[in-house]
Amino acid sequence: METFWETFKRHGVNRRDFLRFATLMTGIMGLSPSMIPQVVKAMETKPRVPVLWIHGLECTCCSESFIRSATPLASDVLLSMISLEYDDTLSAAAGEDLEKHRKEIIKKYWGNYILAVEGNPPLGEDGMYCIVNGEPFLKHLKESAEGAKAVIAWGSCASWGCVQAAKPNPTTAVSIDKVIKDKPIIKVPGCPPIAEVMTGVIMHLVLFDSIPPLDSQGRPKQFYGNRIHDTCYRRAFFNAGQFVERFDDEGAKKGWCLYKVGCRGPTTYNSCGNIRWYNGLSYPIQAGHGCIGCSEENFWDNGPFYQRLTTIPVPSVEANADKVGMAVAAAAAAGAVAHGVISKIRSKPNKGGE
Amino acid sequence: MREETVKRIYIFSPSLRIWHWVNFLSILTLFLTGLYIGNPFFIGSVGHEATYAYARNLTMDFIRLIHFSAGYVLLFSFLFRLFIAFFYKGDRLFIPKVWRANFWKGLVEMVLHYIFIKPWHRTYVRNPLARLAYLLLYLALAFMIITGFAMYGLSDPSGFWAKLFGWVVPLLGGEFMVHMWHHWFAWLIIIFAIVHVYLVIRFDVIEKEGEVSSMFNGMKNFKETPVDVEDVA
Amino acid sequence: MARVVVDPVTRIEGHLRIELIVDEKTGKVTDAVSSGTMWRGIELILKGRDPRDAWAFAQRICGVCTSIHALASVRAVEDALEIKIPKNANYIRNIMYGALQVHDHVVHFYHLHALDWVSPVEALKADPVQTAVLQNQLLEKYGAIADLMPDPIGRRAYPKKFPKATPGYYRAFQEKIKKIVESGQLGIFAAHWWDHPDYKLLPPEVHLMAVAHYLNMLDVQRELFIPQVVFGGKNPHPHYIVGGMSCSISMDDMNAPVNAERLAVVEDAIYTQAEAVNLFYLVDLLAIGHIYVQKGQVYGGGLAKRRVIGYGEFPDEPYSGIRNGEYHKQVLYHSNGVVEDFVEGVERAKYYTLVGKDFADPEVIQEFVAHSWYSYPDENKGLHPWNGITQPKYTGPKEGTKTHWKYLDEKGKYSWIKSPRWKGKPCEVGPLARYIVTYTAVKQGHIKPSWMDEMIVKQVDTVSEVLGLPPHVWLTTTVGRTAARGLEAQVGVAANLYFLKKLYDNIKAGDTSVANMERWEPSTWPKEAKGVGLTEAPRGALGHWVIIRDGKIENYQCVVPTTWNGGARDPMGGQGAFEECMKDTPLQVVNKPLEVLRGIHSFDPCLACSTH
Ligand code: HEM
Ligand code: HEM
Ligand code: NFV
Ligand code: SF4
Ligand code: SF4
Ligand code: F3S
Ligand SMILES: [Mg+2]
Repeated sequence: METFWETFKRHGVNRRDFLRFATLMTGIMGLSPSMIPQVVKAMETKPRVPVLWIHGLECTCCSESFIRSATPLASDVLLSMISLEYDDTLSAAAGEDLEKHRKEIIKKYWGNYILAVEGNPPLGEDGMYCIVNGEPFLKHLKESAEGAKAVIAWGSCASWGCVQAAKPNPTTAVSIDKVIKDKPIIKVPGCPPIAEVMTGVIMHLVLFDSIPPLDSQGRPKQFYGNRIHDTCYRRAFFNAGQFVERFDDEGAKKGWCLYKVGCRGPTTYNSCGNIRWYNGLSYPIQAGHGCIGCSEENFWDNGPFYQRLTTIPVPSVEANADKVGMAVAAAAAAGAVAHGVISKIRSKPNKGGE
Repeated sequence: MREETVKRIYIFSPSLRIWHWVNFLSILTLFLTGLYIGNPFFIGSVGHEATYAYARNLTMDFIRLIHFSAGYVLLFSFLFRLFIAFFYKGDRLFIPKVWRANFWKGLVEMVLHYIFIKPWHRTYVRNPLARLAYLLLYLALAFMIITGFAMYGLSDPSGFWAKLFGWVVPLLGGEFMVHMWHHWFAWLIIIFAIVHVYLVIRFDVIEKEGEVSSMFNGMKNFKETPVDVEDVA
Repeated sequence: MARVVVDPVTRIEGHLRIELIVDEKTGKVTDAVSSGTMWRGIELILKGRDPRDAWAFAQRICGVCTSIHALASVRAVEDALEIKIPKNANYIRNIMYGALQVHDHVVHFYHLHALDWVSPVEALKADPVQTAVLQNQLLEKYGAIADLMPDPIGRRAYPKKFPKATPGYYRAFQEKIKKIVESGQLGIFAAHWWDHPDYKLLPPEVHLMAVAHYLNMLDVQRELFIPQVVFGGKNPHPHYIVGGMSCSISMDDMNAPVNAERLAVVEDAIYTQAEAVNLFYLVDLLAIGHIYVQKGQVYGGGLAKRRVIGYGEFPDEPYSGIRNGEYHKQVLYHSNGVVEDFVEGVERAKYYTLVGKDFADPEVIQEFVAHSWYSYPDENKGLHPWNGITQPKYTGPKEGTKTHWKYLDEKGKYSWIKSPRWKGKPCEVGPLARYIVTYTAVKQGHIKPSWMDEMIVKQVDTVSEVLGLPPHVWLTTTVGRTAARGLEAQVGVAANLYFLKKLYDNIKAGDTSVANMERWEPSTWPKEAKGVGLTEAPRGALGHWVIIRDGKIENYQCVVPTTWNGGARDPMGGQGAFEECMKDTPLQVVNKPLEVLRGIHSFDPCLACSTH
């Protein structure tokens, strides 16, 4: 397998441009400039990594997001950094021939390939809500994970379960860490994740031949280390108490904070506030819509999205904490008064022992 | 009136009394500021440039600052409360003696009394139902402190508070749910306070134990020897 | 008779299995089975939720045709609650929709479909110098197609992205392919049937040109979706709201989501769309398609010959509802209708219009589950989506075990896709269907054509001239299906320019409103409301049907393009478009059914959509 430097040379890229690329990459990955020599060294020596990219229950928006990456361009990742040996969406081959190829790759690169999983396995109906080549995707997943060096969980589907796992989860879909226990799993949540975050994770794997530093929940710290709220350009308006009260009101035109129309930025860990989408072009909040928390576990069931407080999770109670709280507090106060009156009427001094 | 039979018993140490009112004030502050944080129902600073607005008005930033400051007060007063329990018997009355059959009997008796089935109850320095309620309240306060500092600290996920309390976030199903639980428990505590204040006044008015003043002067009046007098004397 | 299985079918979205019953001697496919092999139950997950949130859930039905289910969803809820969105919101939604059309079609052609026509292996044999020459010739020969696209803005000084007709350009791509092949790590090109005779139909230079553009467009495609990122904040899965859009417009506030700078970003992206479509996509498409047609590949039409359906798109101005017929008064793209027997010539085809009330009629559009893994109280009957039921009932294969199939049971249940029908009959949907409906509607004089309808007719007539064949011959083929999609991408660009101009003009006139919030609060809603949301997804006609009761979703049903095309048979024996297309496609190498794969790919299957 050839190194990046070899690949670049072959393309007629000179050493200076190669070094510039390495410097750029260092910046993109959020590393300090002192890391540049290491990045350069890594790019000169590391071979291309075989990747199997499999799809369970999902919507392919993660693949779509991936190819939106601008730095690095998805074509450079796909053709020069990794060797994408299996992918339902991009592989030329189909059917039995492709399945055979997958098995050969697993054998040939045992312990050395990366498994990328988009989507997740349903456990219901013996896994037959998601079928590949006449067998449950669950089997496909376990088989492909066995010889993998590491597993990437693309998107909220693979990381948390996402929409198909939202109540009532008709297929019993589960995140992949529920069924793969013996491999390092890198969770890259988001529905979908930001393109440059996805390619950034691959860059890290390839350049440093190591798993990026992860937080307690398995997410790369360099991309999921902060809340959107703590990186949001509208934060000043939050602090100042200047809020959009309704979509398209005066505050909305002024770009005020979307907290009161349900923004989940305060509770969502993702790079939307700093890296943003399309290499910094925008993110939901910049388009005037609150974050819906798409990189968080269970975000689908934390709705309704346009309310700051969810309705109390008690059947047939249609009110949020403040409404219920106020009502109960009032009832408690009224009850206390009533209780007091009755107590006073019926009061007798204590006659202990009598 | 058999004034002469009234016993005055010294129960609450000065530390506890000070703690109690500090606690009360910090919770009141936390609750009011917390409600605003949950639903900023008035606009803080129209007409000012956002970055500097906080300095001028009751803004979200300022209200959060008060909330977090009061949070620190609550935390330290809570630790203080636990600390003093080691030194003075009367400061350990919140411990329900669940290992004693009498405790459960007394608990049932108090409940029956409050729902007007049993016209009287035995006299306590601190009745079993109250003990249980206070213990639960302390747990609720601990919960508020843990969830509060977890949310507070996670703006720096490798910082001190995140390391100390960050674990609570996945446990409660993500940070959004931490907010919801923190919010629900806020109401729970306030509802406790309402009932608590009522019962305290009730004891004062009906049972004439000088309850309210006890949190100022440390003394309560009893017409007979409380059954749990051993816990203070 | 051989039974050939292809599973997984790749270069599509999601999980599809096909089984072919082939006469080995003649290569004739006598019967075919299309099975959707995934299901998530999103219709069930939507029940009981806030209808204002529905768009986000529905949107996750698919990330490839991302945004289209959100559009159908907000339209359905707005129809139910009788909300009329502001003009700007309508223009913006149209631009976001147009961007999807362009992007999805471009990516389909280059990244999901091209390798059915061209091969990197053949590209290695090409001479880069000759390829450059060829590129220029093709631009000369087919380039005039670009003139069919009106540009009401007219601000692009000159194209910024055009095919580089230089030997160096082609040599660079050829070398990359060569190194990949030599390294033995073939990656996405591994294990395919590159030795299939069809890969010899084109000269090597066409292969090299197309493969180079495959890679080139991989880099360009991202820019095509920029309008969605500006207006919806991200892509895939941009954000919408019921009542309009969230991206407030202001020229007074520097933090406004939309201002002059943001509009400039959108305008630039639309011109990039124009260049990708006019200078790459259409030229490559015509070059390849022309040769395939000349070599006699005029099969694969299948159901398109007999019956197609469309719903109509691009509302020129906001409308007060869909059920009440107002939507169809505003559409510029008059694909709303059914056309039967187009294969007999546009004059002899039968045309039936479809308007708002038809979508509320319990007899017009129904879904059957007799051969799908769902249960109904009476499986011989179809259900209108408002009464639709999604109740899974997996039964297993004909041969093999529950979790290890050999062959599926086409006599019983065999797919997670339901079977939508128009008056009990199967129909094909998609760009081809829309083109047939629009073309017939105009040529037979059923409608007053909009500028868009006229553009479509002109496109079809132009291509007919190039190919030297009448529309009913070349359109109703695999090539025709692929060609209609490319032509439609051009309509998408034209629409984007048109609606961007309208947006400019309206803002200039002082209207900056993007959301109608009058019915935002559930307290303003009726106790019960029903709505239909219609659109033309890239893959065909899409409808969402919603019932709202007490502020919550009572029932939600999606009838999706690939459900129409890829669905199972109905109890009357009717087969969907995938199965009909396969039966209309002869094979040269029985165990390498490339022609069938190409036919299936020409629909741009989306299985996540089809089953949802
Ligand atoms: C009895 C004690 C407390 C009460 C009644 C209380 C009340 C509240 C309420 C009602 C909220 C709004 C929750 C929401 O809707 O998101 C809140 C938020 C919060 N509280 Fe407390 N709180 C208490 C103690 C604490 C403590 C000890 C801390 C520690 C610093 C704390 C830190 C926070 C933080 C960080 C937030 C979120 C602020 C934000 O999202 O901007 N709270 N509190
Ligand atoms: C947020 C509001 C309040 C909280 C959380 C609170 C909490 C407590 C707790 C935990 C104790 C038991 C201390 C121990 O022995 O461990 C207590 C006792 C007491 N509190 Fe409060 N308190 C609140 C408000 C008040 C108010 C407003 C009054 C005065 C009217 C009051 C009067 C008392 C009295 C008299 C006792 C002693 C009761 C007895 O031991 O029988 N409290 N309070
Ligand atoms: N079929 C389908 Fe879609 C489309 N186009 C949607 O409605 O692809 Ni995912
Ligand atoms: S995480 Fe979201 S975007 Fe990715 S596949 Fe799942 S549903 Fe689609
Ligand atoms: S818009 Fe959302 S993320 Fe940004 S400051 Fe407001 S609440 Fe926080
Ligand atoms: S919705 Fe998702 S895309 Fe970012 S702003 Fe919120 S995490
Ligand atoms: Mg459906």
